[in-house]
Amino acid sequence: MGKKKQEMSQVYGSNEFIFGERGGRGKHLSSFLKNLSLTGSSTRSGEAEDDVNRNIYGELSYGPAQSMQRRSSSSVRLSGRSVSGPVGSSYAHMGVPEKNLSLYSNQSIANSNPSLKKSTKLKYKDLDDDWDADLEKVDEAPVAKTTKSFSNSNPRYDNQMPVMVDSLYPDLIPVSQPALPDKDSMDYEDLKMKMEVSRLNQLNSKYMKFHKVLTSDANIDLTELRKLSWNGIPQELRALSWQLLLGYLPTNHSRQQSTLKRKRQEYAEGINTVSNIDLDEDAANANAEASRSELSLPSTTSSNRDKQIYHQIKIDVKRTNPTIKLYGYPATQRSLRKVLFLWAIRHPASGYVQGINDLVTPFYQIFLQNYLWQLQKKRTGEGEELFIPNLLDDNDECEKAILDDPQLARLSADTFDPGRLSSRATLIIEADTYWCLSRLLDNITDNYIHEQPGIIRQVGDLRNLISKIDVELLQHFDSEGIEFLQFSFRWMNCLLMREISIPLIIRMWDTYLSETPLGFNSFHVYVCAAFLIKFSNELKHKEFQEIILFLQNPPTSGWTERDVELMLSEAFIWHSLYKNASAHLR
Amino acid sequence: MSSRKKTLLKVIILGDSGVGKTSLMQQFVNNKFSHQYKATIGADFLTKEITVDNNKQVTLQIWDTAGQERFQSLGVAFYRGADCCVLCYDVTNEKSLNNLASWKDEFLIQSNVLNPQDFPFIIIGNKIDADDSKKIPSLQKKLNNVTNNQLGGLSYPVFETSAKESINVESAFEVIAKMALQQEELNEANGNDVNDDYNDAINIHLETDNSGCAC
Repeated sequence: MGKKKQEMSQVYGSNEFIFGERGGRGKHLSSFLKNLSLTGSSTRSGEAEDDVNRNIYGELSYGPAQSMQRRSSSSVRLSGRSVSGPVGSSYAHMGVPEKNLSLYSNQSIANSNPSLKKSTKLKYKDLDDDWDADLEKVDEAPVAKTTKSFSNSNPRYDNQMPVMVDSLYPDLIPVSQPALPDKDSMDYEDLKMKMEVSRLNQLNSKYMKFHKVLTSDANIDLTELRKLSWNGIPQELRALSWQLLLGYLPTNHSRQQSTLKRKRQEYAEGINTVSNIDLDEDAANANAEASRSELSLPSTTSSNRDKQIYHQIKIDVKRTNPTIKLYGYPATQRSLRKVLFLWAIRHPASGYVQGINDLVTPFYQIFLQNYLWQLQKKRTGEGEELFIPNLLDDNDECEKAILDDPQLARLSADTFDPGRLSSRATLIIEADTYWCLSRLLDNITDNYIHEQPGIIRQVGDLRNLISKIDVELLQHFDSEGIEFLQFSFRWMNCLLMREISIPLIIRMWDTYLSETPLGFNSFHVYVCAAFLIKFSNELKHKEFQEIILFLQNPPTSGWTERDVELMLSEAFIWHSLYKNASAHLR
Repeated sequence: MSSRKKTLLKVIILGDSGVGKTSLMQQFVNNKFSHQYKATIGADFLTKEITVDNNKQVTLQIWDTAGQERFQSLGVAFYRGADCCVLCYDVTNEKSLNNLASWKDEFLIQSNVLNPQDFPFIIIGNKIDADDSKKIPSLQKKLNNVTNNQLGGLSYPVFETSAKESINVESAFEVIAKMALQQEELNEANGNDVNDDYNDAINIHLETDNSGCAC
């Protein structure tokens, strides 16, 4: 840890130097970023110079990723999943997480153009140790040169200009339209097949990498797990990985069982102490006797404040993710009420705040999904080494029934009725959800206490960040009377869960959970900046009313993992650049 | 600034969580009701153009706020420049009725309006579609009590609505628009332009942010 900090300070020390050299307050950031993008992917073929001056966003993210797609069949990034191949391993020994590879690196270019290989490699090193040194050298001239040399070596790609497809994302070329060679159909088929094979290989190799880390004999290497997870965790390993990344599940295998047992017991006891409020209220109608004996004591013993909190939780749980079937089941709602209420009682400084009901859902959904997945695996008799300990129980009658369900292989948490679970399994899923939610919220406690100072600070940071990255947008907002609090309060309060669909939020959390410290606090602000700037061009042409309406309901319904991964990569760059700079300004 | 052709009227909807603020706004603006609204965080914003007093074309900018008390400190960002404030309660929830006065006070503190004494408020009791057995017993008496004793005896217009069955929503908002227009004209006559105020505040902030670096 100590070593890493030293490295970090070196990196950020260099950053300061860049800012000092280039204008201190990031005024020349655009040119800096431009250069950055050029060193990473200067080889965009056949594109006019002024293309370079286009929106930084497009240059940095969509551009390179897209050009990589076209460049070679061994492309690092395919169909929305960035998997680190050889490039990643070249990072590993330097202790730098394999982040934003699609931005900095371009292994396929290096392969297809030996003359670039050297400089590309140099650059990785610079990122770690002394990366401004390389940037100092980057100037218009060498850039032009590399562009040219690449064009010469790959004349075949020269005329493939990006096609404007979507007015919202002028720089985004859909994966479904790869610019494949069209003259020669043999080439086309060949390339298509190679891409598919490569994609599957990468998924498999990704899984194997996780498998290796998660099943290591001694302690699980968290640093390694973070590096892998930053780029997305395979579905089936997500619950396990999240619990490890949050520090809920011990990295030492021999301690896992006992710790989980204790934590789940603690949760159960906690629920018993707060059950003077009728947590089973809804179920009580159907089965009054059973629920009373299980959970509720006379409600006269609960304080008025507790009742208020519970009332708020109750009405919010009812309207949590109303479009997803899972959240309509009484059993789901009962579990969420219990988890939220216990958390609120245990954290009197904040209590329950609207929006926390959103934050609990990824955990609940992932842990429920994991339970189903473990049952599926149990039936086929594989993967047991990756099970979360003590989750399954051979004596559990409800579990047996699910195991015997002919539809088992097709069960998915999205539509599964948790009413089918035994009280044992329900309690485990609730307990794991409770503890993981607690760990997440520990990072953002200031967001939910009186006057929500954490959120106010984050909103201010976002504004500050935009003033550096996209001052024109800020000026436009100012002239239209837009206040950041008006649109970004919710982004902070609900961690963008109201703007982006749950599956994509879950993917984002893979990255957030891999950040140190966890990304829910400061890194999130950079993600919000990337999110806002994604719409910058449109917003600049709108008036107050349209801006607010747009940001109330940003067009993310068509988003894929690829979109959020690009956004995360961009946030990472800005985080690296400005995290230190903002301290510098104080 | 105020010489725009369209008259913009800013309306704030306040009230306890779950009384149906979002549903009221959605029913008025989009003529629909849904069980799938999530809890409002911060504030939601919708607009609608309507004609007031037979000939005057206005745009209502409606801010639908979050009901939970924790969010009250946010008011400054949303209440400023309001032309009318809608206080909502739920006719099946007595507590939401009793809280109307504190919502009004909170609004006046944070919005910093020039004429707190005669600023236009309107009261909406929502969910009249609910079963009579669920409604607050002797509602009228309790409502009178609240308006006379807690709201200062001012005769604010009161509407009983159902956002679900679209009862009285339209007529309530017609009155809201009229009241807001009067307030807007009053502000204009006083030469008060809240928006200018507001931009200055931001610019100061920007300068402080940028002036820290001395190198």
